[in-house]
Amino acid sequence: MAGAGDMLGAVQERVKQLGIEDSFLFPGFVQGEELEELLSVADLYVMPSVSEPFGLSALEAVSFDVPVILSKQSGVSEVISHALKTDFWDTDRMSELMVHALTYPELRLEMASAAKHELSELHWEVSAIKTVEVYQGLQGH
Amino acid sequence: MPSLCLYLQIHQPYRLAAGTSLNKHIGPRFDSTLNEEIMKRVATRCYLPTTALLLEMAKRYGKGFSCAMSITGTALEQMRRYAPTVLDRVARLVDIGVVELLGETYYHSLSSLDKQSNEFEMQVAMHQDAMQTTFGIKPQVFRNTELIYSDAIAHRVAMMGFTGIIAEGTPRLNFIPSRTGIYRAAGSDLTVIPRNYPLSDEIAFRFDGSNGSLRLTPDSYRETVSRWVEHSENIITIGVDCETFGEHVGNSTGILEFLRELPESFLASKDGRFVTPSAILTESLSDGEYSCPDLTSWADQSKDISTWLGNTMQQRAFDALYDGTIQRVVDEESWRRLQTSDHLYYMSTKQGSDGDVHRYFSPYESPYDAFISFMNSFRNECTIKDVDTKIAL
Repeated sequence: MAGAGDMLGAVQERVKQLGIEDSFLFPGFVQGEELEELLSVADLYVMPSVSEPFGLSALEAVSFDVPVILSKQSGVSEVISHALKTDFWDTDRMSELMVHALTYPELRLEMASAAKHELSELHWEVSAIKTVEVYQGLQGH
Repeated sequence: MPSLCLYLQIHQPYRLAAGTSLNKHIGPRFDSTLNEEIMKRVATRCYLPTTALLLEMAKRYGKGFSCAMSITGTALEQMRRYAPTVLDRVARLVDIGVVELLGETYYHSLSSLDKQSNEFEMQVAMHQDAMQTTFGIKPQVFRNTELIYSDAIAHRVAMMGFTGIIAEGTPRLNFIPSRTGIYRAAGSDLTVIPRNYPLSDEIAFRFDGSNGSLRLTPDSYRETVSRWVEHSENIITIGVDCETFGEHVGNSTGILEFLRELPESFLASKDGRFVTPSAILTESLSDGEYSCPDLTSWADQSKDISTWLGNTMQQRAFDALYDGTIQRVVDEESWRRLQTSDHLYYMSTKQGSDGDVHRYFSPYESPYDAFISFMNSFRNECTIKDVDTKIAL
């Protein structure tokens, strides 16, 4: 469980209470080689965000052939269609999807390869051109 | 002008209920609310107006108009429950000789792709029984699920006593000389009636001119057909989903009017006539041998079986259907309903225009949700703890 935040302490406490420390790793905020190392051994990437303007880290996961589960409230869920998605508040559904994805290797394989294909079609240039077009459209009015 | 053989396919699957509990095995749950809603909607928009129109056309054209129809067992059952008037009308159309019913697998399944068992033969026999019981006839001509065809399948179909089969008219047929466009299956006496897909797609996908062309009229369609014809003996087979009329293509486009006026336009032209598949057999019109070692179908642009078995999720689901995995844990009826090809169709990850068609038909948000729903429908009790243990191993 990477990253930091207000809930980190409470989550670590809960993991301890349940006695499942062996199954958890809390590396904090990760980047660079450490991030690459983690993504290269990951089976699944989950972004359960309550709110996420975009969520580049999901694209980083996809670039490492890692299938992703996304909260529908993240921006990235609008650009990656080959992912499992659920509302952030539906934690039961999210945990079910995690178990399903870990149960069926074919599911992970197909999601990862199709999402990677989608990723290959996302470029900063295209986004920039689209943004400029919006502004230009407004100028005309 | 050639002879026109029109064939309408009627099918509705038993869709699975969405959402499956992780913690207990409950077996497949079919969404009866959704299935009822869809059958009633399609009956109102398509089956009822289309069958009423066919009855009207029978009066208007007498023996001048006829067509073939194929109804899957799963559609038949749901019609019996939710739209019985449709069946009454089909029975009437069959009685007066306007509609010829075709044979197929009861569950619209991919059982013809399973070489190890006789499930294919069993389901075809079930369908024949249903046609006999419901309409009092035994189909002579076969159409496999979405026209899946190969020499091996043709052989199995011939062994069951059918004398003709409808197959996709793939481009390779252009290289086999035939004045009629009707063939003999390699290695059997089965007559092969190829569907003309460009002309069928004109109605199914391009009727309303949404691709930039003009909307079809009976006369413009007759002109398009006549451009395909090389000999007046040619038989052109047009096969489309019956749901094209009113459901896939809305009635506001005038598609039912098109069907109503089509015979008049064709019958007015020299040698123009409508034939049924069994009339083609009676006239012994086959004159070229069609060898097709590979599997073909009417689905997608590739016209093969990649629609259902194009990715590893679909292959896993197919294996589970025919290697005994599902059969061992669910009752026979559920296993057979799960064999309906639609379940695998929903799992397709194809992109582009093929992907658009798949998404149109799918009740799921994504092919991955379709796969999860299917696989969970038959698994044994499985808790989060079980899965954790499995992964740890």
